[in-house]
Parts: sequence; structure tokens; C-alpha cells
Amino acid sequence: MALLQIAEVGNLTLVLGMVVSLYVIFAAIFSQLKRRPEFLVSAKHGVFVVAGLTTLAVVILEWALLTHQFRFEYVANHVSRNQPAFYTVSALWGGQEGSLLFWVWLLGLFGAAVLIQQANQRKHLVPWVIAFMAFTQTFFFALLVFISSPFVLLPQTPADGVGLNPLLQDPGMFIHPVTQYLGYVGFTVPFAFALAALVTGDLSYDWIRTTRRWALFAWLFLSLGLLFGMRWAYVELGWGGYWGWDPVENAALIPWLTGTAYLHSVMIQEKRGMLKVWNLVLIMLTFLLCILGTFITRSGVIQSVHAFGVSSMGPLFLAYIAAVLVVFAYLMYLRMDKLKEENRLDSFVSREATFLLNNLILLGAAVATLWGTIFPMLSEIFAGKQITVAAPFFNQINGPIFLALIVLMGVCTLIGWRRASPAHLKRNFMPPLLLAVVTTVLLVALGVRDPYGLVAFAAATFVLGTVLLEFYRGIRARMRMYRENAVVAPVQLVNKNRRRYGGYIVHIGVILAVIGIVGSTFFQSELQKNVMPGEAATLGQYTLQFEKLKMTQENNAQVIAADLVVFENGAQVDTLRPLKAYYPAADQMTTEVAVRTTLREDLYVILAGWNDDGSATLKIIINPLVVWLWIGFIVFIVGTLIAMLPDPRHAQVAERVRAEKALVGA
Amino acid sequence: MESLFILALVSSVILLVGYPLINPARYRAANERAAPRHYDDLYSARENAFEALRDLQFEYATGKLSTADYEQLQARYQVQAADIMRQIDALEPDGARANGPRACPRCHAALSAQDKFCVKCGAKL
Repeated sequence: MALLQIAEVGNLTLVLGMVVSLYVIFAAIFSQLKRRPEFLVSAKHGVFVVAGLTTLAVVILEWALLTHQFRFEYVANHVSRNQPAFYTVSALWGGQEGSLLFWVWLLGLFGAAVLIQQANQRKHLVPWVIAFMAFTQTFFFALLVFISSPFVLLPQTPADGVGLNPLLQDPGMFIHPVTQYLGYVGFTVPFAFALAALVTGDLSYDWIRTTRRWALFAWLFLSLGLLFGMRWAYVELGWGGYWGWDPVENAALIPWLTGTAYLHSVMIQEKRGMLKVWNLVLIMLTFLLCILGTFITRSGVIQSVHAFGVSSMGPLFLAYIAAVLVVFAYLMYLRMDKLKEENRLDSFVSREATFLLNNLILLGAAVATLWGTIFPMLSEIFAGKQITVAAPFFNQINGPIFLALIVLMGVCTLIGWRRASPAHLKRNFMPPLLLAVVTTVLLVALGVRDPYGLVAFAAATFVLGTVLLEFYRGIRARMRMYRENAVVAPVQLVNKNRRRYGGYIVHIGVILAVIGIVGSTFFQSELQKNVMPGEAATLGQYTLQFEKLKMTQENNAQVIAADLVVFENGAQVDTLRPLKAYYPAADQMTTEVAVRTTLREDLYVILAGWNDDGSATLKIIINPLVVWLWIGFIVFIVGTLIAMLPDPRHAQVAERVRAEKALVGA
Repeated sequence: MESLFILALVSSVILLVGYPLINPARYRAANERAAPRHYDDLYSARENAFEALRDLQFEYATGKLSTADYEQLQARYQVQAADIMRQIDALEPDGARANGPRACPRCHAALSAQDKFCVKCGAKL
């Protein structure tokens, strides 16, 4: 088949996909309004057909990429002959058109997954879920078909392609967008169920229980997206940090904040039938912020590192967001009577109250970050010039907010549901508080003086204390009640209470990450020095001996590297090779930093510049404790996975038997 | 060659999506037999109530609640769960209710008409 025809087939799959998903919207709704079940079956078939069509489109595009069909404009822009195949595969989501296709492909797969999962359940919700997911699909298909198709052909076949932007040639490039998109797209499902619940009026428990794992899944991948993005920035962008409050970083953080609030807040609706409006609003915000995040990343509307494509998609994205907002607001108004709280707050010293405060704080952080992110765009629209909002704004506002959040994390662990008995609360507070005080004293004794750093460490240790106390009490209770020994009890504790203890493990992960962030933010030290061959530079307990500069040709780049020998307190411990690489095809220079990581700190070296006399300018940074950020993330991920697993069946049955036995008397 | 492929693609799409519309009667019959919509919500509510009871017991065992608070809250949750279960019973079709409670053939535990497994010994009914 000729290339022209393959491109036609590619475009056809997109057009067919758009038409079918448009049909699915109407068929699903029609089936409910007019009680015609055959239309629902047809709509369900449509969902699977769309999944198949998008898969076909992805296969065609990947084929074109891997076989270097440079006549395809997208391939020519993102692939070059001497580019490693690894990056050729990832070019699928590397550019705007491909990433939109990737989005709608994931959505198609998720739609099929929801149908398989809900095969014979929730028959009244599923049609509306399908309708909304199809509506979103139609939107993305429309973008692909009318504005941004990956199957556009050039008039002539170029000899070679431009290749992937060298800044993106890193393993992080493979994994970060995938996880980020799985998160963004994943939140479509819980929100679709929320809308379905609003339409059908079934607003108490069902939609939340059904989407609990979907929400966790999407949130897990948003977290992974943040992790890989931060790690990538740290090793690839070469300025010694992992977070710059860049608009696209913020675009990934804000839905994560509201998503975190949502995950906690739904527990209150499940237990007490309260905060129904909060939960609906939170999931709506999280979903729309994911759409906004996709838009900000892909449209270059706010200039940043991620601005790899500028286009006219802006008005359409905003129209979609506006349409969803209007429908949501209308449905909320319609169902106001069903959203009344079933209970009231028993006491301000209860877990419900802390979760409510949690909602407010996280929402506050989200709003502040969003404001700072879109302010440059607003100032350009209303004031005619773009006013940049940089890191200090975000640090000053979010710093105290996050500190309050950390303290709250500790407090809420100590408080039970409904109300906390004051005597018990006081008793529970003491050990973690003591731990925090002791740690602070120790740190001051070791020479730590920065007040913000000390407060942050104190808060972190307090929370760590509360979680460890929970584990200790839980293990002791199991040993007492079930006669388990000290090895079995902890395992069974987590095993039988996966949601709770998975959550506690996540909190431990957060605290470890906080420790890493505080260490590397408040206690960083830095040195920039120009050295001749043979000369050394000293920072802290490290001495770096510069041997010489070396120039080589690697793959598709010209590389210049500085060979360094690292001495710690006089003894040689390592060699480092920071470098800069120039990619002629893209006319771009990238920096590759050299890092020596220990549990205590990172020694981070950048080759900032060099001269004809063979001297090099080195920028040396010591980042204390930063590895705990990455370790914390891993613990966090493990905790989330544990929380996602369903509780073992016999635990559920045993529970039910005990409860029903008690009820026979009631 | 290629136009054949396109034709095949378009026709299979139309066929797969349109097939159910050819014989609607087949789906209408199945739909009549579907469970009432409130079931799902009530079953979720019941699961919630049991989970709440379990959490409560756990918090008492780990020292967050006084005995007085625990007993009061437990009673409240149990009444709530009993109420939900009564609502579930009320939704049962008349035929099942007419049968009334029954006993497990294996262990003779008290069961209700709609149980498919014995809650005590797990025997299939």
C-alpha cells in the first residue's frame, strides 16, 4: 500500500472514531430516556470499536516512526536516522499531534476497561458514564481531525528527520509523559461516574465506592508523573534542583493537590454521609485541572520548558472546560435536595473535622498555585504585558501551607472518627511531640540553625512519630487479640487493613520526601570556580581535582566532558564526568550533570563553561538529604499500591458474620 | 487493494455498532429481568456500614476511644446497618419474600431466602 493511502487510512480511523463516539453519546442517552436497551448495547459496541480504531491509529503511527517514513510531517519532526530506537518509539507522545492521539487512545482503552469491569453492575449509571467519556473522546478526536492530525504528509520526502529534541533524549522522556497521561486520562472515569450519579440522582455511596480504585489509580500515576518529572529535571536540566514552579510543573501539581483532598474527603462521605457537595466539586476540579494540564503542556500558552508546540487549540479547550462546568453546575442545582448532609460534625476534635480542614488547606494551595500560574497569561490579556511569577512567590505562599498540612497529617492520625476522647488524645500526642522536641534539640546541637529548616524537621518528625505510634499500637493490639508474634503481627496488620495502613505508609513516604526537600532547599551549598588542568576546587568536605577536558563524538552529538577526581576528607572516593553535548541537527546544547549520591547528600557538578586554554568553569552544589526525596516517593508508591488492593475476602466475610450476629439481637 | 481495506474497515464499524439495532426484542426481554436500581446503592451502603464497624473496633483496640464512646458509637452503627439490611430485604421480589428465612443444609445456620452462599460455612446453596 502506498504511503499516501496509509496516511488516508490513518486519518480515516480518526474520522470514524469521531463519528462513532459522537453516535455513542446520543445512543447511550437515548437508550435511557426512551427505554431502548438495544441502543445501549449498540453504544457499548461503539466504545469497543473506538478503542479498536484508536489502537489501529497508534499502530500506524508507530510503524511510520519506526520505519522512518519521513514523508509524514510528524515523523520528520520527531525522528532522525541516527536516533536510538528507544526514543523513536517514545516519539509517539513526543509531539503535540501524537500526544493527543495517545490521550484519546488511553481514554478508549479505559472506556473498554470500565465496561468490562461493570459488566452487569450499576446498569443505571453506566450509560451516562459512557456518554460522558464519549463526549470527551469526540472533543479530542475533533482536535485531531480538524486541527492537529499526526498523519499529514509533506509534498516531498526529506532525506532525514529533525529528530527528537535533545533535551528530551533521556529515559525519563520515555516514562514521564506516559505516567502523567495515565493520571490525566484516568481521572475521566471517576468524574464520569460523578456526573452519572448526578443525572440519576443516586448520590450517596455507589459512585464513590465504584470509582475508589480508579481514583487511586489515576492519582498514583499523577504522583509517578511528578516523580519522574522531578527526577528528570534534576539530572537533565542541570541547575541543581528538581522543581522550579514552572507552569507545566504546576499544571501537574494542582490536580494532584485537589485529587489528594478528594481521596481523603470521600472517606467522610462513606462513613458519615457528609461532604457530598465537596466531593463532587473536588472530583470535578481535579478532572478539569487535568484537562487544563494537558492544554497547558501542549499549547505553549504560557512559555516554559515544555513549550514544544504552539497552536490554536486554546479556544477549543476552554470551550470544552466551560461546557463541562455549565452542565455540572446545572446538575448540582437540580440535585441540591439530594446533596444534604446526612449528619453533622459531632465535634471539632474529630477526624471528620481534620479532613475538612485538609480539604481547605489543599484547595488553598491549589488555588494559590493556579493563580500564580495563569497570572502571566491574565496580565498579558488585561494589562498588555506578561508579568512573570517566579519561585519566590510560590515558595512564600505554599511553604507555610504545606507546613500546616504536614502538622495536620500528624494530628489527624491521632484522632479517631466521630470524636476524640480528650484524655486519650492528650496521651496520644505526647510521644510524637516528645520525639519532635528531642530531634530539634539534637539538630541544634549538631549546628543546624536555620529556623525554617528546624520547624520543618520538627513537624516531619512529629508526623513520623504519630505513624510509628499507630503501627506500634496496631501490632500490640493484634498480638494481644490474635496471639500473633512480633513478626506475623505487623504483616497481618497491614494485610488486614490495607486501606488504612497503606495510607499510613504513604504518609511515611511523604515525610521522607519532605525531609529530602527541606534538606536540599534550606541547607544547600554552592560554589562556582574556573579551574586549569590539575587545579582543584573545594566545597564542604569534598575536593574536586580537574584533570582535563575531553572532546568526543557520540551518536548524534559532539560531547565535551571534564574529567574530575573526587576526594572526601583527603581520600579518593569517586570520579565524575560532567559534560555538555551539542546536537547539530537540532542546533541545541544540553547539559549532563555528574552526581555522587549518598544517603547524607548529593555532590552535584555541572560543567558550566570552558575556555580555549583548557580551563573549565565548574558549578559545584551540595544537596543534603536529597536522596530521601526519591526514597520517600518509592515508599509512597508502595503504600498506594497496598491501599489499592482489596481487603482479603475472609476478613470481609468474618466481619459480616460478626456484624450480622450482633444485629440479630438488634 | 487499499480501497478494499477502507471498505472493509467502514463496513465492520457500521456492522459492529449497528448490529444490536437489528433485533431489539432480544435486549428488551433481558432488560425486564434486570435487578432494581436501588440494590447497588443499598449494597454499597451495607458494605460501608460494616467497614465503619470494623474501623470503630480497630480504633478502640488502638486506644483512640474511651469504652463509653466506643459502645455508644457501635450501637449507633449497628442500628444503621440493621436498617439498611431491612431495606434490602424489602426490595426482594415477592416470590423470594414468601419463602421466608431458611436454614443452611450443611451447618443449619439461619439464612435468608436470597443468600446464595452460607454466611457461616460457605456452602453453596
